[in-house]
Amino acid sequence: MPDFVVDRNFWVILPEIVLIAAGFVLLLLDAFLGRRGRDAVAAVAVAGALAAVFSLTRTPVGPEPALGGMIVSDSFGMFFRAVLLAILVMVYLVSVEYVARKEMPAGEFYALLAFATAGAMFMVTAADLIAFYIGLELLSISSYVLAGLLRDDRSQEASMKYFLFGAMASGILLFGFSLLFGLTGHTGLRQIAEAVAGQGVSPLALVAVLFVLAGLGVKAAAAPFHLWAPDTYEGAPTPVSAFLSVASEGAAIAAMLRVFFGGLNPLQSEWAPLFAVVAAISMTVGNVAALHQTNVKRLLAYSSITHIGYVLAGLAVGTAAGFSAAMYYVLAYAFMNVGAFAVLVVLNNQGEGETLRDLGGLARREPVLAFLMLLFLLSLLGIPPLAGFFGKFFLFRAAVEGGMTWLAVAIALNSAVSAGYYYAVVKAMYVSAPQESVRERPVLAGVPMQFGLALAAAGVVVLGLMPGAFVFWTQVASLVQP
Amino acid sequence: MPLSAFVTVSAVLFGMGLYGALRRTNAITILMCIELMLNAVNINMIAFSRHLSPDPVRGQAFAVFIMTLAAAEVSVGLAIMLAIARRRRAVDVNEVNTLKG
Repeated sequence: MPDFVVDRNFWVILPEIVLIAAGFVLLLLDAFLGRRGRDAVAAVAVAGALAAVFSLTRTPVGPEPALGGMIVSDSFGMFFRAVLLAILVMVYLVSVEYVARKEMPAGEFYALLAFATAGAMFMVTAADLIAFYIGLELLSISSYVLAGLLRDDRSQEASMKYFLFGAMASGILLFGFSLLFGLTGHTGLRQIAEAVAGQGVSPLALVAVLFVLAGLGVKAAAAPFHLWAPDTYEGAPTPVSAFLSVASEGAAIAAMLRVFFGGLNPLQSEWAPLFAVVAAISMTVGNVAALHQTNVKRLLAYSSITHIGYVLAGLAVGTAAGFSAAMYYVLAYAFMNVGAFAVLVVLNNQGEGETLRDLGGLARREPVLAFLMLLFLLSLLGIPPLAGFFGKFFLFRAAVEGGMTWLAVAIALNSAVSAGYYYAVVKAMYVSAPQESVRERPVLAGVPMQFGLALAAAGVVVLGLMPGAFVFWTQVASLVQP
Repeated sequence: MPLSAFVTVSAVLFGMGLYGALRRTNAITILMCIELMLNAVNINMIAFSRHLSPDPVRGQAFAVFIMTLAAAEVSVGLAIMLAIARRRRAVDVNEVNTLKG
């Protein structure tokens, strides 16, 4: 029974070990230092995340599953681990001042973010449905608590809605997994792929595909499974909304890539049309709902549903080009969306809200901040030469070359529609006058926040000016060979 | 007992859970329905493990992990609901509706 001989090559999960250890240190530090130690806790949190980044560069890379077939530290996993750690570092930097202003429990906040990121990293490296499920739950359970950490009515409601939808999604996803296990007798993705290839298409396999797609669709907040997302993003602490919109969705997309292209690849002709439909619905529903939002956090929530639709179009195409385009988009989206949320965090730190009125005249009060928001919004809209442009361009090209022209047209049309609501934000910042009560008040960002904003802006610009290196990376890390 | 009997029970249980989770409005009842769904999965896992899998412990191990993680999930969920009940005296999802748009 080779299954009982577990190799102990724990080096392959070194970054995750570092992150989880850092999380425990943070909890202890918080318990001993109390309120006074908030800055120390934040410093240790950032140090822990950077240590995880460093250990990622020391992690062995190979296509063979390790740790009893549970974890595979391949270049695909490395790509998404790097993206997730970049997100964690940015969110940490963005949160420091927010945690202090809102009097949130610092130890719990930073530790839960570390645990959630570790869970997401287990999801993207899982080679087995069991490991995959454990990673998903570590991410989800930490996120439910994070969403409710403000402890006001809105935050609690966000937490409860996220919990109920997330738990239901876990049940649906697991039912799909149990059917897959029944069909193939295996839980390892590689063995599942072999068994499915041998059996061909069966009705039960299609039911399993539907359940897995629906379960992961909820986690990725793709329409029509997105009902929790707007409420949760609006009510949750703003840095947590930023984290969920990129890390949780990015991990769900990576999981879809791995499960569908790794385990269920033989059924591609069956699931690809489903992805195309979900992609088209997601883009359109997100856009239409975003058009009449006045709360920018909620607007960004709907816009994130749209962007997930774009990414899913890459999965629907199913070619090597579509695959790496989806990976590139997740990377680009991480920087631009965290950046856009970070600007709202700066406003929250002044005790202000995040509606279009609150953003009114931002350009007159703080031109640099308004310019950064403009940069992130233009990237989200897809204006060259920023990251978002190349993300959309690669997806568009992959869709046309892959013979799904209607999906390419849907991407183009939806990008045009999305200009409507991004322009509303820009207009508020540059055309509208500031509200009387805050007209003379400066908008100040602390040093960590400045680093966080700079990192996000640098990502958006570098990915836009030099997409070649990153495209090469996505092609190397792709699970589909051309 | 044939495998089909287990799968039928599991499918019915899952259907009841999903229906309840979508139709009920009390958060605690929804949580109970989600537990039904997870237990349906466990029945599936163990039955398939016994009847089909070349490796007799895979499905059972999965079921044990599902039980453990479901317990963790429920404890967090109940804590969230307790916090809400303290502030609002209700855990009915129709009454917890500040966020709209």
